[in-house]
Amino acid sequence: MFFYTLSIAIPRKKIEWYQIILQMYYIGAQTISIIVLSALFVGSVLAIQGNYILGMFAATDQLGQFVALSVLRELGPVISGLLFIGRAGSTITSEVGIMKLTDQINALRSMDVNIKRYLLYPRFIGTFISLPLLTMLFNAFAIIGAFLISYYSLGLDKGMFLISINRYVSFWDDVLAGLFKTLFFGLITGTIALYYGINSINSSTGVALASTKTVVYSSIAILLCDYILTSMLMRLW
Amino acid sequence: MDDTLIQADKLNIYHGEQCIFRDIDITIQANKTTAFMGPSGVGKSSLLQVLCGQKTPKSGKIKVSENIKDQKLKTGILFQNNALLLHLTVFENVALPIRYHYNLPEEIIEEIVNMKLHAVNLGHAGHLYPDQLSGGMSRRAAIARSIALDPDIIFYDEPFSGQDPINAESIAKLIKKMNTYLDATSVIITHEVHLTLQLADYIYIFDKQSIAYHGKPEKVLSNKNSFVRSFLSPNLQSQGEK
Repeated sequence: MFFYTLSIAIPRKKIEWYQIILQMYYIGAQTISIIVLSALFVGSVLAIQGNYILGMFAATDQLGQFVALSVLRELGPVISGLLFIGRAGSTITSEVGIMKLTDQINALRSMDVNIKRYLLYPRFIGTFISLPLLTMLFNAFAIIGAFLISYYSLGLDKGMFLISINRYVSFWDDVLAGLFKTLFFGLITGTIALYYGINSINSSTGVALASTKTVVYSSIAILLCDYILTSMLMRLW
Repeated sequence: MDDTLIQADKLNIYHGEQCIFRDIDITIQANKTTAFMGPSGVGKSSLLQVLCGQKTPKSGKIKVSENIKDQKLKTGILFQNNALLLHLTVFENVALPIRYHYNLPEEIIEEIVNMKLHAVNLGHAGHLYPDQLSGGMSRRAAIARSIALDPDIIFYDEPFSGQDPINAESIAKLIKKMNTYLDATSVIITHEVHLTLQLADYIYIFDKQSIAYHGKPEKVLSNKNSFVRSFLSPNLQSQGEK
């Protein structure tokens, strides 16, 4: 019901549309650094572990494919989603909760500002648009991190790394399938974050509790959604 | 009802299952200052929420003057904690309702906002954020925002609370100025008896879900009601009366 209310609160005024751009900056652009940093480390660790495991089968020339498929299909969407929840989801809940606590939302109502269109929808659509874009960034930097480690640290042939990606990674089945999941992850994060923010108890403890619930329930919801979508996609493709 | 802006009859206001006011009648005269007074927790803020349309009474009728277009009052509200939007500057806080409701060029908006800020002696502070303001400045910024759209009626929820005597006095003068220059009507919720007696044209004193006194300020001092006298007595003594 809350999700439906949010999704139909499409802005009508210029100032409301402008809020969407602002929120994409706050939610999306300001999460870039943590996404990029995490991606580099995740890719590097994946390369190290992958090299060890594939080494058992004398298949280290498949490391590029191993890293790319793991990141694009699963690790990219899920880890980006979890990082996004921690950074953006909790921020949205806290911000809206504090606005409620300090009467800022009542002040907006007193000025006849539509709360759903001005405050909630921009954040909702901001999460929906930002997460797939951030996931693309995560995927790219994770593969870059793995590539750098495999060449400079593990001494593997860089040509083989890239060839195995090119040969075995499909844009439609692998890249798009992963990004498809992030559309749902973004909707889940936005809905849960805003729900707990606008319904938080009017106290500092209430806001903190709401923020915690956002992180916990969004994380579980994303993992559940990932399981469902992965099962569906693997049967279809 | 010629001079009456709002007429509320037989209002029953509840907070959940708890009755706050039972069958009260309130009249707000146009272009006058009406004060609501009473002990903390009696329900003055709830009454204010009902009168400005933020809360629905359990029963009762609220009628707006026929002189108001579509009987839809333009209201401005000063919240007890100011409720300035913390991520916006003072200028942007005042500009927000104008930008939201009107499609005006930015130069015109800047002129209007600067005019409002000068009216409250904050012409120099438009670039500051709420956390950079003193208590008095915050209060004045919130007043500037409440008058941004030239409202028909302005509700002030405890405008003098947390202010030193000099600031409180200047806010009282500001409220009087708003009434005069904007042709607005003011409703003030306050405990500050001394300033209210100077400022208000009509006073309601509430106690135990009903109205203990209503009338002009000059008559409240001679009122024989024991509750009214005990409510006012700390201030009566400070003015040298017994």
